[in-house]
Amino acid sequence: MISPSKEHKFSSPEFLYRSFPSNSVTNTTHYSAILVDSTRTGKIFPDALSKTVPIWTAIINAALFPTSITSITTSLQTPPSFSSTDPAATYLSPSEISSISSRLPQFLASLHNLSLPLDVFHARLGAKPIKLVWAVHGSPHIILPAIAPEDFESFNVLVLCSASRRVRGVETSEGGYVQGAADDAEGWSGGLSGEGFWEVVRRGGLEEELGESDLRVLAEDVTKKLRGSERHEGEGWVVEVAEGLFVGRMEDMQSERNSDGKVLMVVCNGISPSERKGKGKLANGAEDIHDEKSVDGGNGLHQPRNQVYLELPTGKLGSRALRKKLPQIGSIIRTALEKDIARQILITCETGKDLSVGVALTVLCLFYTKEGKSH
Amino acid sequence: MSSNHFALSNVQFHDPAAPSSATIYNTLKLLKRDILSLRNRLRSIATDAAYVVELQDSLIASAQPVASPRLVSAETAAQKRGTWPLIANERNGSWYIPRERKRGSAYFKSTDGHQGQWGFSLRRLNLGVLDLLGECNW
Repeated sequence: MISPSKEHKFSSPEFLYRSFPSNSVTNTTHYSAILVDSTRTGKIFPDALSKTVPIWTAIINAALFPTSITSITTSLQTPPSFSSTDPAATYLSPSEISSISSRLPQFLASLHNLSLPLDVFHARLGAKPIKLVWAVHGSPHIILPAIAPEDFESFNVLVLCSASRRVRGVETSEGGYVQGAADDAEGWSGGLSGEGFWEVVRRGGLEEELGESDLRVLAEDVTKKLRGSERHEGEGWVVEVAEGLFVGRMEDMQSERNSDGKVLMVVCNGISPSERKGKGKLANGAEDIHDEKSVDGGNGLHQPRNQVYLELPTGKLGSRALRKKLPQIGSIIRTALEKDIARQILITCETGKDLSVGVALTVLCLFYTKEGKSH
Repeated sequence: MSSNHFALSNVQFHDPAAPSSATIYNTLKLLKRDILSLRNRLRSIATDAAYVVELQDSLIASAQPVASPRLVSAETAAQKRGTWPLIANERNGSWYIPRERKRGSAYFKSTDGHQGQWGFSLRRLNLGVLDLLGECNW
């Protein structure tokens, strides 16, 4: 094995290609992990493994182990070149390494601004900084990252593994093999998730004789089953996050909604009744009694009694919109509670486990003590 | 997966009524679509997952404490699996890790590594990775 250079604790790349190793013994337990990703293009590593994680590691190490590095701007660990025979060659260009390194101090400052309990993380890591090693699916042998025994004594070793095999053929494929096939799954999987994939495998999806159309049927079936198991048909689920704080779907909150009114309902998705009426969307045109008694919380939202509509879109747009609205949520809810004290707060969203959770967390932070009691 | 390669004969053209004046462009389009079939994709993912499993097994096998140089029992091997936990960089990564071997998730986005846009996300601190790394510590 190649020993790390003593000059710079972190910045020297080392690698060694070898086949399956014979037993090499060490005299300490290993603190380590393997992070798995893949890439679709003819690249060897996704940017997440060649850049994002190295940046993260440099900041974490600098924050938790400030004395272990001479300077943060020279501490960036980057992958070695997997195509050059020069052991000092790097995967990233020197100019990119330099550009990234120059930004590290400002990133470190932003982390310190969060005032996180760094001593807790320091202990979690066993007082050892993180050392990065890269591994990539090569052919024909397994390319094993070189990790010196002494590395384990001084570091937590994090192996960054690119599972896909680099293909230099036409259109990112070679003889039917598709590099980074899981990439952009939304575009081709028909709803099948990573978890679903393994269920397909378990059910014989990789059998040689299974053709394309049969496989599609199997995949669809698995997808449907997994979706169905997420929700109990006819049986709603409402989670009591803390005393008097509930999260779930609108439909499942029926009984709570019809209670004696000591309930505040926070509806994340959907348009408020008053809005609907204004837009002429109320189906039967009947008078909306909620609207009559509506109270303007002063936030530009028409709030029917006991109900607050955040009017956030569903999906990804919703989370972005929620982030924008987060600062106001405290006052929105506080106002609603001042107008009409509620014993219970019900927070709903389309799935019952998306935006409503984010809002519930906000409510917990603002209105609940550490022991889970409301103010 | 015994073979890393798939015969070109596995590629089937789904359009028997392809125009006789098919251009190279059309042919390549058909070819690409068929190479990117669900079957090929899933089998490719399985191939890659097999590599991940072999990598983990190799790392586990190569890291044995002096205290127990003898062959490890299945129980000990399972324990040792804890020393090299597989973490999926979601959501891509979980396709490549068999369910029973997946120990955790991380969310490092490639966009935070894109040219000129390098960033350190405060929203994705991934502190869970620290827990898995230092598992033997506590």
